[in-house]
Amino acid sequence: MNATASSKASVAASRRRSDLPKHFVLILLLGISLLPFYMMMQISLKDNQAFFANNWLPGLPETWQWQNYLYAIRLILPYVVNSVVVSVTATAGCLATAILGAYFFARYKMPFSSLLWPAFLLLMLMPSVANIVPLFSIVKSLNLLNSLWALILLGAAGGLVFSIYVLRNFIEEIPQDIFEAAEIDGASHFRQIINVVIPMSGSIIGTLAILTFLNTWNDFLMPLIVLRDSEIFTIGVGLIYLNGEYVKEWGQIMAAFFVASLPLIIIFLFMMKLFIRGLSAGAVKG
Amino acid sequence: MSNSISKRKALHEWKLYLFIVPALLLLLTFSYLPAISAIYHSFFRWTGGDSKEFIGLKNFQAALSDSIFWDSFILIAILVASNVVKLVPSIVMAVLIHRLKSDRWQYWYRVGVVLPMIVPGLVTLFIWKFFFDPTHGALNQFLDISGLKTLLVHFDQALHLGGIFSEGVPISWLGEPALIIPSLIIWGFPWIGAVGVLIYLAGLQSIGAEIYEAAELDGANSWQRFRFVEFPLIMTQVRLSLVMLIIATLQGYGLQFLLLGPDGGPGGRGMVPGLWMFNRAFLAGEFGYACALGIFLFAFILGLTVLNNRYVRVEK
Amino acid sequence: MRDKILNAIGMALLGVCFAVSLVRIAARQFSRDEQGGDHVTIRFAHWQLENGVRSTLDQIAAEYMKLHPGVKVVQLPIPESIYTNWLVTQLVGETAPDLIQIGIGMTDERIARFFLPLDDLASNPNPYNRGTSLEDLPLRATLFDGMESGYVSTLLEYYGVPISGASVRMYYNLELLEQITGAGTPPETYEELVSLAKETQAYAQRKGVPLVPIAGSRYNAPMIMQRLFSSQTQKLVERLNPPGIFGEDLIRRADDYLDGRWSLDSEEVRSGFDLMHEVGQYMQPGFIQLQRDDATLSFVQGRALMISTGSWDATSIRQQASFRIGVSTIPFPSTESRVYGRYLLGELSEAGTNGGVVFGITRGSPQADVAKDFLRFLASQRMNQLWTDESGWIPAVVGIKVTPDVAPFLPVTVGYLPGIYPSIAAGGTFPSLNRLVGINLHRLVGATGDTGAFINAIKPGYRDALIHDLRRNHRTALDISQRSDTQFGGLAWTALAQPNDVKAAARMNAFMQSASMNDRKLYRIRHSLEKAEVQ
Repeated sequence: MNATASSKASVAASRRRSDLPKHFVLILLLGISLLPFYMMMQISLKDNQAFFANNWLPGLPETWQWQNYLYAIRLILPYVVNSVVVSVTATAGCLATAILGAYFFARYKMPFSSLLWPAFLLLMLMPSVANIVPLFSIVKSLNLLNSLWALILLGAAGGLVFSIYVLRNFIEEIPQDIFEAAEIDGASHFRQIINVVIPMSGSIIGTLAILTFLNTWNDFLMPLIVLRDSEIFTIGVGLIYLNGEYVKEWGQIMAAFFVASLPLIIIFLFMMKLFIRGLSAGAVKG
Repeated sequence: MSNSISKRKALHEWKLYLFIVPALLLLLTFSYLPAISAIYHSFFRWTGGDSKEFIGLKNFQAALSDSIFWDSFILIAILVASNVVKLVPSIVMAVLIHRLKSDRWQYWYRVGVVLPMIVPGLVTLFIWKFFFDPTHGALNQFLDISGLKTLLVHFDQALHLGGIFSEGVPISWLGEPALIIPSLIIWGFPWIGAVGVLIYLAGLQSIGAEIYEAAELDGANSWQRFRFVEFPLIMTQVRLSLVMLIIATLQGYGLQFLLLGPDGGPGGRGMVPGLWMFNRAFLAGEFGYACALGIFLFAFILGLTVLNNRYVRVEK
Repeated sequence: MRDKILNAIGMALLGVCFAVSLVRIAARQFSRDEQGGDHVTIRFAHWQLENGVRSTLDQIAAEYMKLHPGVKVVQLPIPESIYTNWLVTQLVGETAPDLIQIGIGMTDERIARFFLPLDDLASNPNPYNRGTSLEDLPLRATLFDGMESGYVSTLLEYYGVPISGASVRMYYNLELLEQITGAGTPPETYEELVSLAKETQAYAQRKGVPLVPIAGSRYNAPMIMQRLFSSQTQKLVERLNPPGIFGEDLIRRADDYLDGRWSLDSEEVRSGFDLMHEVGQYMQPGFIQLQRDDATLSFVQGRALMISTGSWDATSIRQQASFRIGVSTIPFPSTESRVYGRYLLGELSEAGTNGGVVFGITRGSPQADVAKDFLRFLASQRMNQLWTDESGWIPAVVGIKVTPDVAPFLPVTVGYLPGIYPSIAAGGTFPSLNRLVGINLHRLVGATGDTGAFINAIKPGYRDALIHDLRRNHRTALDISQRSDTQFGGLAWTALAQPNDVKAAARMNAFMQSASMNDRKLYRIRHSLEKAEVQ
């Protein structure tokens, strides 16, 4: 309350200075950063002829080539399907495992947890760049090559340490009395998690979910070396293959990019607030 | 902080240990085991299959004289430096949004900042690859239309660059060895990271109004306000971004792989250590050697992290 | 409140997406399992993404599946850029398809480790040729190159079967040609090409249209330029060869250079570079930076009159172009020409062309027999006829009638042998030289290109690069020689243990021959190097 009152005062004080230059710079920067998006949209509705004639401006609505999208959907949708399954499952798995694990560390200082925790932290500091080579071999030994399960497990393991770290801090902030009250009511630990932890850390879980989801969605190196059959390709691999064609129909390619972005567009349009709030909350903690 | 617990209660709560088991399993298999395996296999000549031949330190010796590997660190250093500079637009953006008077505008700009994130990083990369295309790419067309191309041609002639920028010749951003490094730096213009902006914004918003008023009374102008008020108080966020950015850049090679291919592009100018490691393993089939390279890289990054933790203290 | 509703909708949509995806994957899994049992699936992989190839291979696969209902054949096209990567991971991960196109990313070691020797395939008749004139011939005799392209000399075995051929031609926009010259006949000599190019440039200027005579790129231009260069060095090679010896001997050429019998200043070499420079003037500015598809696009959009590329692009180009295409061999300078005629012997022969699109069979394949059968099917006369008719590529099997579209691409066997190339070899024998020439090429063929400047630029590093490459070749020959000791031991043991086994004795002799040739090469290189270092 006080903050708003005084900030309004300072606002009044600086009212002489116009916001216009700020708007100008902001719109300029935003415009440029939205350029890839714009280009993708307007090229996706052209055929190669129209594209070569005019690179920058979209054509008239009569000339829009909707069949580019048909082609893209036929080509990319299977990949999107695979990516959705992998990313959602990996995210769910990662979060479930992370919540359980973070709860273990945060609730009580169990014996051995002081041993395990540094071990976890070590993983966070350890660069994982060298892992891809033996990972390939491990996945092969587990007989998981050329299957989506490999990607799901890897995706879940990837975001695990960071999620546990963040969640542990969060859970520790929850006042002990709430836990004790639940315990008195006879709730098992599992129940405590469901009734106490999850509701209270909703936003941070949301943020972690989105981060993990994005990570697995954008990954292409692991899928590239693990998958063989084109039916189970994820988006990353699919786009790489598309990019390797000799004859490039740019309209179709851009439409394919758009279809590849669809699930994310859905998520962001609807869950924007959640994401923004979650990020900001996490930032203040950080 | 979590409660300390008596031994008796701990025994009673033994089921809690089960909660850590899935995480432990996943991490053991997919994080610890690969790390150990990498160290183990770096002492072997290993082609990825079942047969390996113990060769002791030969991989490491070869790595030490591997000029491609060590040269790639130069590029990494350049990329780290440029990535640090690329943090600036996000900070500028955050400050500008923060200083807007209207809350409604602030909200809409935050939406606008998040909007580019809708396009997944992978697609953005591919679109930028398209931007770099010599004949159809947006970059060359923009340079031609705006007349900047002529400027570059003069620049080329003045510095005797040997015709990288020539009149009537489409600039081959990813095909001309000398232009690869600039391309890796330019990509992603204007370098605004939605996550970064939001984090800095959150930090800025926690600055109390009294500080602003105090600055106002002292007659501070915009720049001074930034330098003495805003920037120091978002230092923690900036530092966090910085550390994560540096580690990610040091390890990363996906960008180079997509833009230039697993050989680092023409002349191999785009080769970074991670990419060379990938190349040795999955193109040349020298898995053991790649593990040794990975160990070097890992030690390098670990060393930097330790240095960072020891000497760079966060002041609240 | 609105947020909550939006969030709920978002989650619901995501949930629906997920559920639908899960159902699709489960359905696919289910249909996959149904095909277990007596259904066999074989997969074949290649990198030929050109137009026409994938659909033709699908057709051939469909024909095979009709004949063999219990078999499913799946095609795996892989982009060239990631082919090596893909190859290594598949072979090492033991998930490799049953048939793999051999070429990119192949080393002798990889072939020996991961591929099956196909001797039995090569020496026996092809059952799918029954009813044709080829039915009694061993498979390798039914192929135009005798299956040489599938033979690995260092391993003494056939490892692959080619199903196509390849050649390089000049393509013309016939309609545009008629507009420019009034008659639609492609030039036959280089001199006619030059005058056509000049006419084209004049035409372009008159009409104010963007038009270049030849579409060039870093991929297409070398095809013309290398060929033209080698025309100027034909007589040089003839002069350098000892009497009675014809043709390319790369080690000897390298030795000749080190001994000073020819140099970058030799008049023939200079003339070759001049030729490259001249022809480069008729391509787009900056062509050396452009990619393969940029040049193709230029041509099919009518912004270039001609383009030189391989027979493998014919279908792609025909499908993209809206005009009639003319095809001819790349024009050679005429012997009567004042400027370029004195150093050359005549048009090049393409008799030594080897087959392409060579498929090998992976060792670990659980259904290697079915794969072998499919390979025989692919290389049968009937299927190869289908191949050339549908894809527009050159066939590999002999005795096939080709369509009028494919006919101009058939290798022309009459002609002379080529001279040396700018980096001595046409292929990858001297990679450092390749690199040296490639990096400096823009000094020769750019708008400001100049032969003198180019030669001065590559002269300092030429000798060192050559020696570096010779050392590399020496190391490879040494490796092969050392490896062959064990092989030789084994073969000799077998031959000695069974003195009546004719085949074993023949193998040992063949091996000795090949090993001796390798050793000879090894010592010649060593001799050259020793001479060079002494100086």
